[in-house]
Amino acid sequence: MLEVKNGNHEVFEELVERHQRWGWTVAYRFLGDAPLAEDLVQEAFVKIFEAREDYEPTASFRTYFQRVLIRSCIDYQRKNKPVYADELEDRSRSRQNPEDRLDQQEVNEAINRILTELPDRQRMALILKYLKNLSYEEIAERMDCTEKAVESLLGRARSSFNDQAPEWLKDRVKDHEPNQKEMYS
Amino acid sequence: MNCDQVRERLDAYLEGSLSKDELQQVDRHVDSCVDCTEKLRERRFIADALAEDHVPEPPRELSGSVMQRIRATEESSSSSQQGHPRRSRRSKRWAAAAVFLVGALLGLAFQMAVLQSGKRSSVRPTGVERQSLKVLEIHPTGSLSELVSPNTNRSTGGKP
Repeated sequence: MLEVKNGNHEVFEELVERHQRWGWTVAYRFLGDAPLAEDLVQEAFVKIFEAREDYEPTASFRTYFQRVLIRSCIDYQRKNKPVYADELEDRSRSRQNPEDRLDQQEVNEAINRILTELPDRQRMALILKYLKNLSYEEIAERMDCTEKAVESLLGRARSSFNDQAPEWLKDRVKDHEPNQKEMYS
Repeated sequence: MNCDQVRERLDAYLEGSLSKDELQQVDRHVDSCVDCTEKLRERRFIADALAEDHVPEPPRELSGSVMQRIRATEESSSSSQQGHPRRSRRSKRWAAAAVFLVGALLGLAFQMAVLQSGKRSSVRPTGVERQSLKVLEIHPTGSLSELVSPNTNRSTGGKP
């Protein structure tokens, strides 16, 4: 990032390539809308590049980028209505083979639909914990809150997510469950 | 382990990061506790539903679009600045502070100038005062009564 401060585009492009997947998956799960997620991720990177001269190396670029993106997502959602998965059926088609796609798409849309019903901060905490496997400490740092607050957000989010999930989704997801004993062997 | 201790460890249990001893304790508790079995089932469902497998691939051209946007922003800002080098936010802040300081100094100088001119105007004689001074120049030793009624004593030579 110190090289980026001097306007080095190539180094910044490498940083974008390294962190774009993390950013896009979080933004996509949070917003439930692929084009919107792409737009917010782009904006977060542009914002960071424009403010490069004020960058203080107190945290890694990874943490810095994640904090900027998380704040952008929550701010966006606060100012705009959530986009419900029903309205987005065609917008988020994945590039998988056509046979798997329908099944995967159905699961994906059901997950988005449940997530969009959750309050913003609960939703973000749940995504950071289960999509990105961040610790409570890391989530607290990214979301500017205490670990106790993260625990409380996750408790409520887990309970709502589970209550709103239809049985067919639970069955479908169960088919992909890893064997716990295999994990520890 | 009690229920609270087990539930605190459910995520680590699912991630496969418990020690062998903790794993055995959690397993033993879950086998004999209906509530914790249900909590484990819920937790496993959430972890699996939100796993990356269900998220579509990000667009391939994402980094290219970011760099394109950055170049477009830079071009538009450099053309609007007409050849002036791009100023950082910090240098803009310094410029604003300098402008403020110069303004404050000019204000102070103006105030002092007004005060000085006020002092000067306070010693400058008015029209009436100027006339009185002229009279005093003509009659430097004369008394006030002579000035007010000059004929009184002069006509009579100073005698009643």
